[in-house]
Amino acid sequence: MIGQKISNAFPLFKQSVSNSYSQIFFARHELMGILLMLVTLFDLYAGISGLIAVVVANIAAYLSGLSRQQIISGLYGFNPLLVGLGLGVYYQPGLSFYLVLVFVSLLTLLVTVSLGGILFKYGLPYLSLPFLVGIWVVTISAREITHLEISERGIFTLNEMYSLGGMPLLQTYEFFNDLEWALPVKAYFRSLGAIFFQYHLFAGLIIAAGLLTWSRIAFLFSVAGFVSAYLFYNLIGIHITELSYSYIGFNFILTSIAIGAFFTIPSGYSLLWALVSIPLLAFLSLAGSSVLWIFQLPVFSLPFNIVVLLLLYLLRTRERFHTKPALVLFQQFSPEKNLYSSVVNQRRLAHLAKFPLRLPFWGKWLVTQAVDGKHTHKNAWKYAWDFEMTDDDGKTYSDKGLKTENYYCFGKPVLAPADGYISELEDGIPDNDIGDVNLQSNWGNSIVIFHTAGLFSQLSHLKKESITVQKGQFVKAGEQIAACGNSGRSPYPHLHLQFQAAAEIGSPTLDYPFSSFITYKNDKPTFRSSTQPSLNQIVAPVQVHELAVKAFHFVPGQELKWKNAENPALTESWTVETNVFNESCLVCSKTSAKAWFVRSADLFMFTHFEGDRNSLLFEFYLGAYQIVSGLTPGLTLNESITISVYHNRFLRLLQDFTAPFYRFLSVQYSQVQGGMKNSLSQSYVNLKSTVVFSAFGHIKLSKTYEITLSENQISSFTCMEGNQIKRYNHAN
Amino acid sequence: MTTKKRYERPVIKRLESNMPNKYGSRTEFEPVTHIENIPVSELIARYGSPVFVVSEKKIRKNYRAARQAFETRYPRVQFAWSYKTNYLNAVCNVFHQEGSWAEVVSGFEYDKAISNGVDGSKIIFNGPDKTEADLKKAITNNSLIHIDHLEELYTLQELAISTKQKPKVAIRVNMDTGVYPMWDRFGFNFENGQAWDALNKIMYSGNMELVGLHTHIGTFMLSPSAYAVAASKLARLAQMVQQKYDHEIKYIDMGGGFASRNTLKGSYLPGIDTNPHIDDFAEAIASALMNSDYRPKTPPLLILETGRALIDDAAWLLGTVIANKRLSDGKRTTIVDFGVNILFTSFWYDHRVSPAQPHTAYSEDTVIYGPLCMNIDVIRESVSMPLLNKGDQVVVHSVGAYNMTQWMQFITLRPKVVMIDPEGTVHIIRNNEKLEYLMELEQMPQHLATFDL
Repeated sequence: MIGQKISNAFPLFKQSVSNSYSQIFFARHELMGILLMLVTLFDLYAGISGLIAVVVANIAAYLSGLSRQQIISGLYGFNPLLVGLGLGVYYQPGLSFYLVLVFVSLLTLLVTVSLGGILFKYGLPYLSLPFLVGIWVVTISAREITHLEISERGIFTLNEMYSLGGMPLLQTYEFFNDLEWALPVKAYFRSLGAIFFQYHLFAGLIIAAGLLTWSRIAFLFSVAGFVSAYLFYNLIGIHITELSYSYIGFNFILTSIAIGAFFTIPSGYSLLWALVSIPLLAFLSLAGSSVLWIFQLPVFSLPFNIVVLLLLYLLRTRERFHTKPALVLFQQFSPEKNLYSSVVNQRRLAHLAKFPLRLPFWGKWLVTQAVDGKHTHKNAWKYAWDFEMTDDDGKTYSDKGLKTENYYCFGKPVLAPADGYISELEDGIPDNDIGDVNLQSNWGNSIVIFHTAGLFSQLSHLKKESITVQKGQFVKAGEQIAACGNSGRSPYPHLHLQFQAAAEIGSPTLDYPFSSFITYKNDKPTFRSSTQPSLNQIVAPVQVHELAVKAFHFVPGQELKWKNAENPALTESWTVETNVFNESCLVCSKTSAKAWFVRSADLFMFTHFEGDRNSLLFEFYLGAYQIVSGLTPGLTLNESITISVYHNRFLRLLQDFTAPFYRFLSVQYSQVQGGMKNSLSQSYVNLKSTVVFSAFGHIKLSKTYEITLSENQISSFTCMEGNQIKRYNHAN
Repeated sequence: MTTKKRYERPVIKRLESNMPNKYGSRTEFEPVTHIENIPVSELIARYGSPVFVVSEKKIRKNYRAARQAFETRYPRVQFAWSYKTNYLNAVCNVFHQEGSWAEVVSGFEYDKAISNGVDGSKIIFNGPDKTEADLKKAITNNSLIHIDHLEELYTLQELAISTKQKPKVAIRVNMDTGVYPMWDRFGFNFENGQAWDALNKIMYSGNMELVGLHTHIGTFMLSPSAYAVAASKLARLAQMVQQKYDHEIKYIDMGGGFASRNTLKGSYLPGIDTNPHIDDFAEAIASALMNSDYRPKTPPLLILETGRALIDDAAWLLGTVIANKRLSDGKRTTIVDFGVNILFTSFWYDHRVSPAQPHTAYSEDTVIYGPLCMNIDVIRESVSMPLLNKGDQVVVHSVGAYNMTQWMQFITLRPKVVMIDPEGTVHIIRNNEKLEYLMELEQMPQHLATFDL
């Protein structure tokens, strides 16, 4: 009844509680949360007071109107939880104890919110700092509260156990205690237990199991952190009992997970940083203990907090080596997910944050000078491109090429690479004779377009008096604004393009990607996105086609219905949904599986999938993983899919362990656009995609998909795996 | 060992007292001994004389250059191969492989395109004579029907009702583009309002889908500016349709008629120097369309039906000298083994004719006659040629357009047509005609079967 009422008033209450537990390991994982809760209940009173603290803090956060998303993620609950556990261990339960507990939870919540606000500006997490404030405040003030009695339970652990679980529990406990394991192994598990104020092996084992179910990578880093701490202590001669009995070992574990696997994308570099942090932690814990001893306070997780904040701040302030290691930009609360999606999406989704820029011409052109070019694209002006046109034989001119008109690119339309205002232009400089250069007006006739704050594009060496726009005029992407010419420092006709941060002609250039373009090799077109053309590439802009745009334009609330071609009784339906973060997904009505997607100017892209992998939606996620908005017969598109979709679960688990350093699984997506049938009225087009799952370079599974677009929608979807063919037709 | 010198007949030439210059006053001839690196003599030895030789490489090259010329100036371009220019299947398929649609002007050409494997929706059906059966076929296949006259419009309307299908139609528009002669016999006139009237009839009928506008302003056009006028007039019509009916025209078909590099009869200078390049036509058309006020959401597809400019210089006619003769007025003549029956375009052009073997620098004004026993059989009325002997071989340039369709079986049988592929292999793409082939169609009434002389 009460549970029902709470869940009515406070939806996702259960998640908020379990996440508050798993959040201590940065996770959002229900099973792990439940396991951890179980561990805390070994010390029943402490466990209960922890739970009370979580519930109080979460309800308070909810009633005071804090972000529901944050509450559900357990971000407000885990610090009060730690305070509650700590207090439950140290003090006897009683009325005054619970009174103190409730208000300390509130205090911790307040500290959490404020610290969160302050640290947010620096892009830093508050970790367990609120816990430290809360527990220290109570520890000091409790000396004056006479009704708060120090617990004696810790002294008679076995009695406690017996009263809790009788003989079987005691035997289990004894069994684990008597295990003849090496000291460091035992110390590791004890340290894990210590995070929840449970100083015994049994708790540590369960926590380790929880850690392992949540993330193999995190487990790996926890071991690495602890082992290296152990070695370091031995090496510099700090007595090892320091480590085992002062219960500061978890600092190494948590720091190693945080720095190595959670806040960064796990990799060899992140491991290196995690290892570097170990000695720092050692000094901080020794020094911290001594200083805090003056106030008779334990050091708890202070070293972990300090080191993680210091390192994260450094990583955020970097000017170079941003990928050594890379910080996690979109936190998915799982090192595996963070790693696998960053491997794929770091490049794939990069252009979503960028202004969409296209090539400023029609048809195929040759890149005759690219970034860091041989002739003039140097130093501050190195991010620039020169384009020319060639004929079938690769020549840029007809006849002998003695006249500007002989050059194929001369006089060809020059277009605006993106929407913007003309901010600067120069015209009237005569076109040079072939071979001559005009060093007085280096840039020749030029146009600078203002696209967005700090992004301008400059087009130069334009044909004299070919500019058709005026200063201040708004131009749309793809609008013709001038013609390619031979003015300025241009010995033969070519088009110069650069992106820059300032409006003046000839400003220093900016390293900015194009949203998309097509490259041709032996007449075979390949699609590229979020990248830049390179020297000697033959490039062409993508011509956006209505059919591809409309077919993949999903409107929230829209329902896509499918009918099996062989058996029309077999139907499927998906609805389009959008969440509060403006993220859209297709939701399968049968399985509630979700396929999240984004749209950009040139692409439709699925970003991730959650739910049942036997659903048709999962096949569609794979088959329509990436769709170009333009149609060019024969256009090939290659992309990697995150390893998380690998079909063999066992291999995937194995992969998790080595993933930061070596990835042997791969899932590759490729698509070829078929010829278009009638581009006029009833146009339709076939898109053929293949998804190849391979391990150690050997193909283990290959799936083929065929998507037919017609009448502005996806008219059929076919999946082929081996001899099995499933064909679904649009059924609205 | 001394090789025997080539015999050339003696020639008396009037001394020309021009201003002397360092190049002298004589005409230089380059013998054309190889076509695509294959000796002319070998081609004739293998495939007989005369023989048409088509270069696949050159076709592709021409096509790509033309496509580039348009695609770099206008975002959406489509070529449609004009079947009547050369409908040998191999030639058509080279164009289709390159991405060309088909443009046909008769039921026979339509069937040919279909049998070549062209999708019905990629066939443009032009011409004044489309039978009801033809139209029905075109409607079923979703082909693009270009209406030439009101009678056809009404027939289509009836067919649309009876077949319950919506034909995809365009109208052919003729107009004054400032050139003479004005081609006003095909389609509907722009200036007198016929075109606008036809468009209204289509839009009001409601049972046809107006997809495009078509014009074809002439043939062997030497003035690109005429195309600019035509393009802006079509764009104006498209805009009027959009304004009145909120209907977007899907394509604008500018037809063809671009001049090749051949020299028209009566021209003072050779065509290769004076005729506009395909780039000039592209520039005129694309900029006229871009500058027009017609601004739909998607720019209309620009369709081009150019034939001659893509194929003319990709084919050669090889032949052999039969005899030399002096006319009564003392003029030299050379008789070759190909006549106007297979080189139809010699009525229009001063074809460039080259000898296929080395010769001395001497030349003589010559008439080149074909082998037909007909007075009209003149290949060149007056051409300065080196002194050829019987059995010498000659190469006629730029014969790709219209000859292999307009040729006729007259007096002689038509020769082989071969194609050299990009790897240099020669394929026969049309065999020479044989007596049986001609006889196959003939029927003999019983009472005429026998005679006694």
